[in-house]
Parts: sequence; structure tokens; C-alpha cells
Amino acid sequence: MAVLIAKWVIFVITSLLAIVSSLLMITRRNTIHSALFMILAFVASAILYLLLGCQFMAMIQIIVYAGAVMMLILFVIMMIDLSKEEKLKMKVTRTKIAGVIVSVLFMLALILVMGLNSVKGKLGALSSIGDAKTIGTLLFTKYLLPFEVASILLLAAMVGAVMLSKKKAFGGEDQ
Amino acid sequence: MLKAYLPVLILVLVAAGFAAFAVVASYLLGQHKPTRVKMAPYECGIASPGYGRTRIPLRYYTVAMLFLLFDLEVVFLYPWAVTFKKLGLFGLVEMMVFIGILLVGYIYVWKKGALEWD
Amino acid sequence: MALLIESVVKVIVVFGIFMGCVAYMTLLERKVLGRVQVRFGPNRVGPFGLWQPIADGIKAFFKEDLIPANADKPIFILAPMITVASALCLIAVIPFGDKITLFGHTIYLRITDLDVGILYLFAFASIGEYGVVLGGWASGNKYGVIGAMRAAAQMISYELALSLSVIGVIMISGSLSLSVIVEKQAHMWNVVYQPFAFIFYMVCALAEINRTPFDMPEAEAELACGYNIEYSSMKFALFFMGEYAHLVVVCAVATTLFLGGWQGPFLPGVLWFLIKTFVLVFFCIWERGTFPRLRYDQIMHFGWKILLPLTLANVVVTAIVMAL
Repeated sequence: MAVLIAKWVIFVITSLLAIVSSLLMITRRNTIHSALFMILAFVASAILYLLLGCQFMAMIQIIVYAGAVMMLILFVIMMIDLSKEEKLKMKVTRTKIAGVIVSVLFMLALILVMGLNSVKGKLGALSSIGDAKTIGTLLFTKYLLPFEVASILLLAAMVGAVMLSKKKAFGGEDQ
Repeated sequence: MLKAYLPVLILVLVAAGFAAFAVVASYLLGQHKPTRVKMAPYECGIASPGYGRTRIPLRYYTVAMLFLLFDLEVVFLYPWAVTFKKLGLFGLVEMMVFIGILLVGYIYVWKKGALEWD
Repeated sequence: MALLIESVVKVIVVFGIFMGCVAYMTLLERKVLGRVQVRFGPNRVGPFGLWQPIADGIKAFFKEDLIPANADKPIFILAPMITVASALCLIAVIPFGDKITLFGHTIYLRITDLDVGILYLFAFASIGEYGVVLGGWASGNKYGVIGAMRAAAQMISYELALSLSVIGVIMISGSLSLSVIVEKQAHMWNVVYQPFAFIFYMVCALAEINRTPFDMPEAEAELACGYNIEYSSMKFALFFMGEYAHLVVVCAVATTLFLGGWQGPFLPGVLWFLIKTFVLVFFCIWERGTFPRLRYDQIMHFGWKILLPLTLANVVVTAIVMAL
């Protein structure tokens, strides 16, 4: 019983942390601050993975998203000078209000269509593929093709990254 | 399984608590006599010219991008390494194909000069 | 409830000892470096300068706490806290001894045993990198920014080779749990099967914690100190402690992964663990006194063009040998 309550309390705290930091991330004018809140949101979602029993996913979430992806975003922020944009005031326009209403409606529609119960059933299955061994066995037998395709995707991304940075980095003197 | 993470939670709280305590205590105990010169960016006594936050060169971005891609490759290696004994020769061939494709990317990146730093 | 009490006691004891080790690391380093450079090192405070770390700690609390005018104040304060807290959290998964029986309880000498222990280490280490980057950036100082960027690029580059170098050990042990890895080394240390991986690991680890010959981010001769240039008082001390804590952990992890952890004949396990870790720590200090600093482009070339292919080749060769 105590364990269940503790789990529930941690779940509520982490979910609130994830939601609040996501909201703060969107609303901060200072880009570095919003990047920090994004890291926090990623870490919170990693803890949510952990509560579901997916240890491996939780750690990968931190290593890849909170570590590598956010480091890339930080580099980009530091590379481009955003001091002018940061001084812009946020204006509440009709389009923005309409956007908020539409997205809330869309979320409600999704919940109605899919139903909360369908989510519950899926969560039970998740915890059984939590550890690295099960993931490895599944990945290298049942999901072999997606795994090999992923390598081609990574290769394409590599080529893309080099091309993008080449053009901008060395401008005229591109060899 | 979550029981194993209870000590981690406690340790994170203790470590964060220690860090917060150290910062707050030094703020309370230390003296505060700020002057304009003291608050200026330190540049060995010379007045600092220009804007403090210099924009960084683009090649750092290239490095971060490549790091992200290779990091994803390593992430695939963990579950493979754990199950390697069970997979045997089959696992070896699978991973050789995966690494082989990425090796092509690595050679391409090298040849295009994205790893050069001068 | 018993679990909670056991965990709290364990965490507090280990945390206390670990902090003590970190504090005395500073003295050890200054002493050894002093000897390397034919001088005495600190010897005024107490016998052999033994009270020096405590004096330094007290001093750090009472120093003026400066925050530069154009610093990003919240991040400036947060950055050293991130560095030190994440480095201290790394100790959680390292097994430092066999199980002992106390008042009828079997107690394992480790804070916890996670199935994904190695990934836990990488996860917290990658969070710790933000401390350095944000600290340099938030200072609003050119040297700080340059140091921070160099540190970040160097750490992520060597993190790749670091994670590739431990793959071989994972393959041999078939587990990501550090306790299992230690148990699997009961007969033979992993360093025998993975000698190159051990060397790669130590090299990458030195770069990961920004130590000589990879201490480019804080090259005092050209960057005036790098990312922590604007830091003073306890905040500077926190960066310093984070660095030393990380150094101790890196050596402890090397012991666990490659040198058989706490396993060894005659002496109790904890002692073996401490001896092996101390030898590696001593090596890290010794090489600091010996090697000159590399140029930055050399560091990046070495990481991407030499270490990355070599560690990958190590994984491939290990796989081929194990499969055949």
C-alpha cells in the first residue's frame, strides 16, 4: 500500500513537472532558459518511463534526448544571435487564441475517440519490454528489418548534416 | 524493480541538497561589496571590448550533429551487446551490416572534411 | 520501511565518505604535483598539510560571492550545482565490496544495483556536461564562452569513444549491471580480455573530465581559466569538487569494469576496491604532472579520427572472436 501511494505521489509530481516545464519552455523569451526547461521536461518524461518499468528507455531518453539532442539545440542557440528576437513582446492575436481553442478541442476529440481504457491496456504490455535484454532479443529477431533500415536513416542524416554545415560554414571557399 | 531506484532518489536529493546548501550558505556568510569594476567581465585588467557572448563557429554545430548520430548508433549497440551471447553468429552478421552502413557514412563525413579543425 | 532506513543510512554513509575522498583528493593532487615539480606542496596547515582541504572549504564559504553584471544570474548560480550534484550522484551504482552480515541482515556494499547501471552512469555524466557549458555561457565573458564551447565539443566527442570502449565488457558479461560485471570477473579480470578497451577507456575518461593532456577548456595560459573564469567563492569550489568527484568515479568505474572491482585474494573486498581505485587516481595525478597540453585541433582529430575507429574496431574484433 505504502509503495503504491509513493508511486502515485511521484507520478503526480513528475507529471506536473513535465507539464509546467513544457509550458515554461514555450513562454520564456530567453532561449537558453527555454532550452533548460526542455531538458527538465525530458528528464521528467524519463522518470515517467521509469515508473512504467522501462528502465532502458528511461536511461536512453536521458542520454539521447536530454544529453545529445539538447546539446545540439544549445549549440544552435549559441551559434545564432537571438538577442533581437528575445526583446520582441509577445502579442496575443486572434489567430493564437483560435489555435489554443482548436488544439484543446483536438485533444478532447482524441481522448473521446481513442478512449482512456485503450491506453490502460497498452501500458501493461510496456513494462514487460522494459529491460535491455528483452529489447535486444526483440530488436535483433522480430524487428530486424526496421533496425537495419534505421542505419540507412542514420546514414542519410549524416550526409545531410555534412551538406548543411558545409554550405554555411565555409561559404564561398567550399572545396 | 522500482525498489532499486529508491536509494537513487535519496542520493539525488542529498546531492542536490548539498549543492543548494553550499550556494546559500556562501551567499549568507560571504561579504558583498560589489563595485562597477568588480562586476565587469574579467579580462586580466584590461577593459573588455565587444559583446561578452561571442557567437560560436558553425563547426561546433557539425560536431554536435555528428555526435547525435553516432550516439544513436551506440544506443543500438547496448541491447545488442547484452544479448550477443544468445544471438551468436547471427547477431554478428546483423551488427556487421549495421556498422558497415554507418562506416560508409563515417568515411563520407571524413572525406568531406567535416572532421577537420583548422 | 526497513528498505527505506537501510537506503538512507547507506546513502548518508557513502556520501560522507565520498565527500571526504573528494576533499582529500585536492590535497593528494597538490602534494603529488608538488613532488613531481620538486617542491613540498601544502605543508603549513596541520601535520603534512592535512587540514588544508578543511581550511580551503571554510575559506570558500566566507569569500566574496561575485556575480558579474552581464551574467545570466539564475543559470550562473545553477551551473555549478548541476556539475557537483550530477558528479556526486554517479557513485550510486558502483559496488565497492562484497555483501556483509550485520545484526542478521545481509547488506550489499553498494548503494544500489540497477539493471542498467552503465547507462545510469552515462545518463548522469551527460547531464553533468551542461554544468560546464551553461556556466561558461552564463558568465558573459568571452573566455568563459570559448572555454565552455571547447569543453562541450570535447566532452561529447570523447563520450562516443568512451561508450564504445565499454561495449566489449558488456558483451563479455552479458549485462549492464555493474554488480554482475564484477561477479563475472571472479576468475579473470576483464582487462586481460579487453586490454585495448581499458587503455581507450582511460584516455577517453581523462578527456571526459577535462584533465591534462586534454585540459583545453581551462587552459590557463590562453583562456585565463576557461568556463569558470568568473566564478568565485563556493560556486568555484563546487565546480572544483564536481571535477574531483568525477575523477574518483571515473577511476572507480574503471576498477569495476576492467580490474575486477572489489574481487581479490586475502584482503577484504572494500580494501581491494580502494587500492585499485587509488592506483588509478594516482596515475591520473601523475600524468598531469608529466604531459604537456595538446592543441585543440589535435584533441578533436585524435578523438574523431583515431579513437572512434579504434574503439569501433575493438568492438568488431571482440564480436568476431566471441562468435567463432
